[in-house]
Amino acid sequence: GETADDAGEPEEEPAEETEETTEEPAETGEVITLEAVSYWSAHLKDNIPLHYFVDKVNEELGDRVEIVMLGGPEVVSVPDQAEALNTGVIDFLYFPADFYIPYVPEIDALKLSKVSPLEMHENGAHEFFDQLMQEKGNAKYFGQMNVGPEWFGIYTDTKIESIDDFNGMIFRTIPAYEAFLQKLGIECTRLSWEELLTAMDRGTIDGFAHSISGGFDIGVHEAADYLVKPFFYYGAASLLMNLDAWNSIPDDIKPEIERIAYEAQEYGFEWAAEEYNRSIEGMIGAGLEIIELPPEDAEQFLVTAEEAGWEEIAARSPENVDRIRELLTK
Amino acid sequence: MEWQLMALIMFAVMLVLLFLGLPVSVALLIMVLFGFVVFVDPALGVNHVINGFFSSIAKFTLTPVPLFILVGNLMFHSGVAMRSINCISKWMGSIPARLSFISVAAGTFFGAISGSTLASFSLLASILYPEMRRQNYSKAMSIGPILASGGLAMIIPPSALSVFYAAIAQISVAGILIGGIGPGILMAVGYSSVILLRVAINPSQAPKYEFEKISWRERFHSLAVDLLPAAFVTGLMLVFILFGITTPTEAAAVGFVASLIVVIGYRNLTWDVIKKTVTSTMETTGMIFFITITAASYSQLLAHTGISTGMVKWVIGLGLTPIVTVIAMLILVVILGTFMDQVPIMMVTIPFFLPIIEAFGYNMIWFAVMMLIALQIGMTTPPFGLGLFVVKGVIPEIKVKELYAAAFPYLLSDAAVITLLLLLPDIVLYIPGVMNLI
Amino acid sequence: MSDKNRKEKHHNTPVHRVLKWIIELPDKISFQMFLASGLVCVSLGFIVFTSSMTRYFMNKPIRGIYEISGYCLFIMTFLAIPFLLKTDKHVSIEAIKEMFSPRVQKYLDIFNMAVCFPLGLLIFVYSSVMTYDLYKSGLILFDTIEPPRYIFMFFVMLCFLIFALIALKKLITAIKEIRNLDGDSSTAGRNQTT
Ligand code: NA
Ligand code: NA
Repeated sequence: GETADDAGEPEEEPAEETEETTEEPAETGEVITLEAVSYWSAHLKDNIPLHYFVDKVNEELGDRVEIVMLGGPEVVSVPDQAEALNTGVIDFLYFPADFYIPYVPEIDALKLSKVSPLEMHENGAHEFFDQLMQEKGNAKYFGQMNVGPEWFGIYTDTKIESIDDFNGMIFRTIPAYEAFLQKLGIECTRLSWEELLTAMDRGTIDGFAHSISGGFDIGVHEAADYLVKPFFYYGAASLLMNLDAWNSIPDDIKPEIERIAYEAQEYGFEWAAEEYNRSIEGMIGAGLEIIELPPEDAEQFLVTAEEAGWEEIAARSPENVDRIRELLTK
Repeated sequence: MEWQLMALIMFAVMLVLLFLGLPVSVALLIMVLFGFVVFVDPALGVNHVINGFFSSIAKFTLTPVPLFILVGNLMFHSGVAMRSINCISKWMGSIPARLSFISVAAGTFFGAISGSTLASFSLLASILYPEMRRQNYSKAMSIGPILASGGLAMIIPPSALSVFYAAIAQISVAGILIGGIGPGILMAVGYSSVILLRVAINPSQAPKYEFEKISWRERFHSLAVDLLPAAFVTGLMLVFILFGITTPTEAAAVGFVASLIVVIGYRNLTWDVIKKTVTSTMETTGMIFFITITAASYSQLLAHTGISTGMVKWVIGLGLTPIVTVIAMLILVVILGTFMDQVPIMMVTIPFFLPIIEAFGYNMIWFAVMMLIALQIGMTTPPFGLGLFVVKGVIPEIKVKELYAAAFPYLLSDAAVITLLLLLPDIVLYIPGVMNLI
Repeated sequence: MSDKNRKEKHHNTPVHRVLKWIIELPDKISFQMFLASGLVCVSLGFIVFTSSMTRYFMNKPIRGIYEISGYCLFIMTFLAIPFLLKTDKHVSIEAIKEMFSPRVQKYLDIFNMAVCFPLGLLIFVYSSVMTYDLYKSGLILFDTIEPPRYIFMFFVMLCFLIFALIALKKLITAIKEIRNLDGDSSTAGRNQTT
């Protein structure tokens, strides 16, 4: 009962295949069902580029492949998502790729990119990371969606006038930018997100960093008085697919999925820019004041951010750091 | 497979295991392993569940759970809590049903220091009941108030169960804790009204008795020596939160250190006290956290298989008005509470309830506090309840029927409080709102 | 009866003493683990307190306390679980069980331990393999401390090994008890109903 779909598969497969398909309750073996999970809860806008991808795959390839959106952290809790993708409990994962650092430490470098995710397809960077993902992470890399430069900003109650003002302040951090903040002389502490507002309100912490995008929707501006410019790092949500699941897809569909993923990246890149503007305008409208560092300080701020980042990458992957830096610099 | 069928199979498996007397955590673990292997991934199901152990429990937000329990146990086993009862007793003049009122006052005061209901029940039952019996109080006026006011510890902050709720529901810990102040006081007022009413109808239930006259000088002395040091524990936590020295979650550690200071100050920190405190704390914590681990997988299993979404859509599709749905949920919690412990009820129901509450646009903290009161009722409803076990431990000869009768009027009072909260959400939300927590 | 006599006779042989020591080992280990879990719990209080103090008064938060607190919660739980099985402190729904006769209740105890033992064994075997795999791959936890993950999986392995052994011991005890119940079920029944 083999169908034309299996034409591209190796010859020795059929025997096993029939055994598997007879176990399936329905004999509609032609449609491969794949499950997708997101880092973000369903109600958050961050998922929009993922939905673009999923809907388009289902629309165009629906008779061959179907992607089912299982949900967000309620399905697989955030700390377990990378593992679930790596082992194959889920097939697609849409998340900030730094959670994949335990498998592919080099992925951390994406935050330092000077090259857009679309340009990465041209200069070989995309291929490079895809290869690393396949070799070390048992994953197919589809690149970043919901992505943009100048991703994170520093939110504080103190009117920052120079870069030295950061020295000795206490910030709530996450691993992505902790090394940078430490270089500014900031003392880093970790708090749960639910306590951020109380901690800022009562002065337990002096500030925190957070993405500009999405900030307005979750009310980041309510926790602080000022947002410090310049913003730093390239932020992104990446789409990964379990490699075994990828390999099980008929070869003629693979390029189609890659094409749709690229279109989702194009869409996501534009959408993210609009979303970024909407968020920052919303926060300003709600009373958040933007303060700019003096030009020399601003430059030093960004250089420090980069240095801290590249030092981390060099420590994580001494063998690949030079190649990555070359690929991610224009 | 349809979600209804999967849900039916899994719930049937779990119910059978539970009713056969298997520990709740073990029954959940078996169901989760079964569910993930059969419905999600035959090859990786077991690994997936085991991998999830770490993230479900290694959460900073859960830190106050053992620490609040630790404080309650330390205050109880060291005798510091008993001192505060003595002080309250000295201040309580010659009123009718004196000991019953002391029980409510002590339950409220200790509830504001301790985050452990078990410690509260043990305290009231072991210290107040013998005296009540000596003075010929009826069961309704002795066991009733003890059962009623022991549960205040989980509504009035600090509360281990509130923190636990906030951690599962991912809502503000401070919000849910502070939101319990208004309702907690209201509950204490309700219990006092029940006592007043009963003693007015039938004064023989709580006979007046002669007790030593206490001078004002002695009262104030007792206040300073017996009550204030215990109040220092909560006071220090509040000060540290208000001045931003700690976050509400971290304040549990301040409470722990403060209670240690108080106990050392009384020179009561013996090896025996330490042993009893740590043992009882880890018994409760270990039990709660083992269930947490399995229940986290359980709620993920429901989400993974689409049962949660199916159920939510089904409930909303019933077309009940939102408020009727909320009432139905609370009644369900009370019913489950007659034969299940608080922690498993939360773990089993919250994954279903919250998406529905969210879809209706209700405030999460408001619902959480009402649900906590409904859970609190479950501690005193036979046949299964933490409060009942403790009281039975102190008074082995008591019959189930008598417990019903003793506890029932106070449950009506709780129901009245929940009704009030349904009508006036501000009783919960006003203080957190003023403090900018919601 | 002759069985019992033979047992008494061998009571003091070195083999018997070694056997006894081995049989009691899981109980002893579970108790040591329980003590350790209490120690972790108390330390947690001090650690969190100290870090808030240094942050506020010395402007120097201790790095990694947020993560370490989580590790403490995890470790203390898995250290406590076996002892709680031994002392029957894991909460269960007794209401239905109590409606049956003491004899049936004993059978239910056997059933429960007959479920707990293979369950513990299953998780022990899986977590052993996972501990080994994590050790080999050197996978880290993604947080600010980045510790190797096998350390934590080791506690799961240890926990369920002892859990399984205690369940097995309780299973054997329950089977023995039901044999004894044949002789004097009437008195046992009277004790149970009070
Ligand atoms: Na009560
Ligand atoms: Na309390």
